[in-house]
Amino acid sequence: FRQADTMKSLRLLLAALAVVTAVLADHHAHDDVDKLVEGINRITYQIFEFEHKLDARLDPARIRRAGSLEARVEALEEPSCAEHQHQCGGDDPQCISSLFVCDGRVDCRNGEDEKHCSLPTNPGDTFVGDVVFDHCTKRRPQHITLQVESVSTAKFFPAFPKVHVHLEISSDNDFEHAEASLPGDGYYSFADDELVIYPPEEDGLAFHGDFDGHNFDRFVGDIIHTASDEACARFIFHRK
Amino acid sequence: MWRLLILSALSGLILADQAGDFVGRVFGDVDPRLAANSLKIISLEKKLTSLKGKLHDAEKVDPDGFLNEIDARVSELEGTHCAKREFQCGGNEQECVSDILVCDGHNDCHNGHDEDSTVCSTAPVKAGNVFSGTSHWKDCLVRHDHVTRITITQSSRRKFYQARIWVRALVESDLTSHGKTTTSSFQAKGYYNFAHRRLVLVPLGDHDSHLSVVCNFDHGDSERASCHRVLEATLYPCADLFVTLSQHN
Repeated sequence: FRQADTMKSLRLLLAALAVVTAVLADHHAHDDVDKLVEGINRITYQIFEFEHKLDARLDPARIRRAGSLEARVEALEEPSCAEHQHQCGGDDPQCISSLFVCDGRVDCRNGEDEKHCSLPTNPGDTFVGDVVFDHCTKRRPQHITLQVESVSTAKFFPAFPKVHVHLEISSDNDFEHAEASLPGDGYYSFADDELVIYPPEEDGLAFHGDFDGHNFDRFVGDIIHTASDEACARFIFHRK
Repeated sequence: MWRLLILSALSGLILADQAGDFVGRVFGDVDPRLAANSLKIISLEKKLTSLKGKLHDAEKVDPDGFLNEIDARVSELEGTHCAKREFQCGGNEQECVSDILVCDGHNDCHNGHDEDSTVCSTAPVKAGNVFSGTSHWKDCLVRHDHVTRITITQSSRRKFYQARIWVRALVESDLTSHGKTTTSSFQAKGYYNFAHRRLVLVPLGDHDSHLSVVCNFDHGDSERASCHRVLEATLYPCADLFVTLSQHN
C-alpha cells in the first residue's frame, strides 16, 4: 500500500533528523542549524500535505453526498424489507421492526439501528419549502415555512419523539393577501427519517417530511390526504 | 504559524517550573533554536501517529468502489434490451452477444467488451475464497437467521471452452438449536458465468435434501454477492443470503 510506504519513509526521515539534532547539539554550528530547520520545515510540509490528502478522502460532506446518491438509488430499487421494517444495511443486510430503531437497545447485528439517533428537527429550527406541485391546499401558497417549536422525547420510548411545529403560510391573490400560522403536532420517526404532522386543520390534510437519511438540511414535504394516503402537494424544504 | 506555535509551546513549558527544569536538563545551554526544533520533531511524531489512525479510516472510504457499485445497481435497474441469455456489450454500442461467447478468448462485441479484463476476471471463484453471510429463510425450511459460509475448493476452466468456470465448493451453515451450535455442510458443484457474473452451486449427490445456491456478483466488485438458496428445478428462492469475501489473514 503506497500510503503506508510514505508513512514509513516519513518516519525514517524523522528519526534521521532527530539523530542529526543530537549530533548538531555538540557542534553548535549555526549554518547546520539553518539547514536542519529547513529540513524540518520541508518534512512538516510533506506531512501536512499528506494529511490534507487523507482529509479530502474522509471529507464528511463528500461522504454525505455519496450517501444521498445511494439513497436515491435505493428508492428506485425494490424495497429490501417489508413494510414497517427497517433495513440495517451494510454488507450483511438485516430487517428489523421500525419500532426498534433508536429505542435504546441494539437490535441490528451491526448495531446500525442505534447509531443515527440525533434529531434533525430541533426546537428553533426553521425550514422553508418551495412548491413543486399543489392541487389540494386551501391557500395554494408558493412557500411554506415550518418552524419547530418544541420536541418531547418519552424516556421509556425514545424512538418516536413528539414534535410541535408551526406551519406559516402566506398567500397572495387578486383579492387579498392572507397569512396563516397553523400549529401542528406530530412525531419524528428515526426508522423512516420522516417527520409526520397530523392535520392542523379540519380538511384531513397531513404533512409528511421525508429526509434522505444523509442530508439533514433538506427534505421533501408532501401534503397527504389522510383518508387515501395520497400525496396531493409537494414542497422541497431547506433548512434556514 | 508553526514557529509561533512552537515558541508559545516552548514558553509554556518554561513557565511551568518542572517543565523548565526538564528543558534545562535535556538541552543545557544548547542553541535555543535546536531546542525548539526538538519540540517540533516531537509534535511531528505525534502527528504521524494520528495520521496512522486516519489512514486506517481512509481505507474504508473507497470512492472508486462506490462508483462501481452505484453503476452496477443503476444498470440493473435500467435493464438491457438484450434477450435472456445474452450479454450487453455496453459502451456506446447497443450490441448483444450470446453469453456462451463471453470470455471465450475471441472478440465478439465490436468494442471487444466481451473479452474485457474486468468482465473476465476470475477473482470471484478463485479456489480458496471463503464467502460468508447471514441466511434469512423466507420459505421451504423453518430456520432462524444463521451464518452460511461458501468455500471455493476447486475451479477449472476448459481450454477449448473458456466461457464458464467449473467450480466445486463446500457450503457450511452454523445452525443453533437448543443452545448448541452445529455445522451442517455439503459439497456442491457448479459453474461461474462471466456474462451475468453468476455463480451456481448444486449439491453433489442427492442423499441429503440440501438446497442449491445461486449468487450474483452484482455489487460492482468480486467481493460481495447477493445469493439465494433455491430449489434446483424451479429456481424458487427459499432464502436470501448476502455474502462477503472473508479477508485472508
